[in-house]
Amino acid sequence: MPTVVRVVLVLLLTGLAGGAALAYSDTQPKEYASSMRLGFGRQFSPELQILGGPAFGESQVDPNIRMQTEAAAVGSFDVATATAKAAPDLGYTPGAVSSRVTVGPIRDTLTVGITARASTPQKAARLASVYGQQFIAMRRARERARATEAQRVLKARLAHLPRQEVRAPQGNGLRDQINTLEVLRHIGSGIPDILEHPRVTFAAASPDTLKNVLFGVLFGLVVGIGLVALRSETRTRATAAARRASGLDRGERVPQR
Amino acid sequence: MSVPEPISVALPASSRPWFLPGRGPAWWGLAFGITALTAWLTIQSVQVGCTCALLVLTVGLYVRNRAAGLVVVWLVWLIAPFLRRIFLLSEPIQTADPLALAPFLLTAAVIALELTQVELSRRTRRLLILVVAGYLVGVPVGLLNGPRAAVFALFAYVTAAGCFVIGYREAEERRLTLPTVLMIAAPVLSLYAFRQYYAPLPEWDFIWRRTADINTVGSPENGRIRVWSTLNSPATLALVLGISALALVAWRRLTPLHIVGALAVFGALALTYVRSVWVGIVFAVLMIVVVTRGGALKRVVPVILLAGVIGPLVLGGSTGAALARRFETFGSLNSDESAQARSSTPTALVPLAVGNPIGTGLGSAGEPSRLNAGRGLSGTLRYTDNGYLSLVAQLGPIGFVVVISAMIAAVSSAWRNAWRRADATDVLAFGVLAFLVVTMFAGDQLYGIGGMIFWYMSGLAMRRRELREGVAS
Repeated sequence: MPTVVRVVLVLLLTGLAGGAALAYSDTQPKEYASSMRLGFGRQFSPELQILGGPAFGESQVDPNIRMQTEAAAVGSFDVATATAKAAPDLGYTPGAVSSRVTVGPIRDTLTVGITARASTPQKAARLASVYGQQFIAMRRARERARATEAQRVLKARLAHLPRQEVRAPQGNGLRDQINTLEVLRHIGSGIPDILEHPRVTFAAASPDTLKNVLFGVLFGLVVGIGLVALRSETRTRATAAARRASGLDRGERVPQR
Repeated sequence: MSVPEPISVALPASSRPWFLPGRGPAWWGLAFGITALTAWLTIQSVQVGCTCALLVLTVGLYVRNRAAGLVVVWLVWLIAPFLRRIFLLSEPIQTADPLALAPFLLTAAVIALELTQVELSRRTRRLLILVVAGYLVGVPVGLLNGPRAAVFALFAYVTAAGCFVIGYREAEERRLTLPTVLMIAAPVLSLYAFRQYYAPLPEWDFIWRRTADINTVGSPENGRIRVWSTLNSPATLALVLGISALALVAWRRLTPLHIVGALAVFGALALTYVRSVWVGIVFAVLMIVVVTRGGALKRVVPVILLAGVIGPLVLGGSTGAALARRFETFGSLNSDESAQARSSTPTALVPLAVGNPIGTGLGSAGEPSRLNAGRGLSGTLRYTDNGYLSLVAQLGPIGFVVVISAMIAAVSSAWRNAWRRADATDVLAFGVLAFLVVTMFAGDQLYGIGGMIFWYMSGLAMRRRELREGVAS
C-alpha cells in the first residue's frame, strides 16, 4: 500500500475519532462550576495579634504542610454533611455534596480553593458559597467552644486565688488572658479570610468539548497508526520479512539457481 | 548443485492472529469500531482512552514489525507514569489509575502474540510452568483476602514472567529491543531528572508529589527532592537507570556518546539517593569483571575515572555534601532509620511466612495490596522493602522455593554463557540479573518494570545457552 494511502487512512481515522468525540461530548449533560477562595495568610487576625501573648504568635510549620492540613479540614466530610443540612433546597445528600465539591491548596500561596459543580450556574455558586460558609461557621464554633472552655478554667483559677494574689501579677495575668479569650470568643480568630466569593458563571465547565475533541484527535491519531499498521503486508514487504527471518539479509550468500 | 527451496517455504509463521483482520470489510469494521470506542472511552476518562489507543498502536505495530511493537511496549513502561501526571492536571487521582494498568496490558498483549509464534524447548516450557505454578500457590488465600488484589497481582507477576518469551525470541536477533531502548531513553530520563532536581518542579510533578502518596522523595539536601524523572518514584527510576548504566557500559562498543550517556545516567542515579541501587551497581560491575576474567576492566575503568573527575565538578557544593553524607550512612547503618526499618521487616515477615505455609495470599504485599485497602494485612505488608520476603510472605515457603528455583536456573544459565564466551550480550544479561538479584533485597523487583526486565534477561540467557549447547526449540 503506498505511503500516501496509509497517511490518508490515518488522517481519516483521526478525523473520525475527533468527530466521534465531538458528538459524544455534545450528548453529555452540562455542568457549571463556581469557585471560592479562602485565605490562610495568618493564624490570627491583626486585632488579636495586637492583644499579644505567645498563643497568638505564628507557628513555624512548613507552609506546604500547613496548607495541606487546612485543605484536608476544608474538604472533610463533616463540612459536606453540614452543607447538605444547611441548604436542603439544593437537594444534595452529604455524599453528593462531597462528590461535587473539590478542595485543594493553591500552589505557592496560603490559600485554599473550593470548586463546586452543579447542573445550573446558580446552583453551583450557591453550593460553593454554602460550603465555604459552613466551613467557616464550623471553625468559628470550634474556636468559640475552646475559648469558652479555656475562659471557664481561667475564671475558676482566678476565683481560687488568695485575696492578696488577685491584685498581684498572677491575678492580673489571669484577667488579661480571660479578656483576650473573651475577644476570641466573640470575633473568632478571623481565619480564614474569604478572598473571593463564588460567582455565577454561565460558561459550562463540563463537558469540556475542546479538551474532549483534542484528546479524541490525539488518540485517534495513535489508533489510526496502529490500525493502518495492522493492514496486510504487501507481497514485497512479506518477502523482505522472510529474507530477514531466514538470515539472507545478514550477509549470507544467496544461493544461485 | 542442489536447488534451493523456494523462499516462500522459509516464510515465518504469520504474526497476525485470526481475529485481527488485515484487509477488506472486516478491517474497515474493526477500524471504525475501535476508533469510535476510543473516542467514547476518552469522554469517560482520558486515561482509559489513552490506554485503549496505546494498546491498538502496540498490537498494530507489532503485527507489522515486531521490533517496533516491542519498542512501544518498553517506552510505555518508561513514560506511562509521566502521562498519568499530565492527565492528573485535568482529572483527579484515583486509587487505581487506568493508565497504571496500560504497561501491563500492552506487555500481556505482546506476550500473547509472541506465544503464537515461539517454539519453546521442553526444558524452558517446564521452567515457565514452574514459575506460574509457584505464583498460583498464593492465589487461593489471596482470593479469600482480597480478590481484586489477588487477580491483579497474578496478572502482574505472570505478565512479568511472560517477558521471558520476548527475551527468548530475541536471543537469536542481533538487535535486542530492551537494552537498545534503555540505552537511548535513559540519558533523556536523566536530563529530566536533573531538571527536577535543580529547577522548581513543573506543575504535573508538583501535583504528583502532593497527591500520589510518595513518601520517599525528600532529599538529604535541603530544599531539593529525590528525583523520579518520568517514572513513579525515585526507587523505580534508580532501578531503570542502574540497568541502563550496565547496558551503556557493558554492551556494544564503548563510544564517546555511550560514555557521555553513562555519565548522565550515573549523575541522575546519584540524585535518586537510592543506596540499594548504588550497592547493586557496584556488585554487578564486580561480577562482570569476575565473569569476564578482568576483560571488562578496559570498559569499566575509563568510565569510573571520568565519573571520578567530572562528578565532583558537576555535583559539587551542597549536593556533593548531601551525597557524601548519604554515602557515609553505609558506615552507620545501626543508626539509620531506613536501614533499621528494612532490618526489622524480616522479624515481622518471617514468623508470618512460617505460620502460613501457602502464604498470606498473592496481592497481600507490595503495590497490589493497595487494592486491599482496609482489608486484613494490607497495611502491614504495603512496603515490605525486600523482594524475597515479599515473595515468601505472599506465596509461603513452598511457592517461594518454586519461583526462586526458576530464578536460580536463569541466573546460572547467564553465568555459564558469560563465563564460557564473554560475549557482550551474555555479559549484559548476567550483569543485569546479578544487579536485580541484589537489589531484590531492597524491593520487589519481580513486580512492574523490574520483573519484566528480570524475566526478559532470563529468557535471553536461557535461549542463548540452548543455542550454545545446540538444543533445538
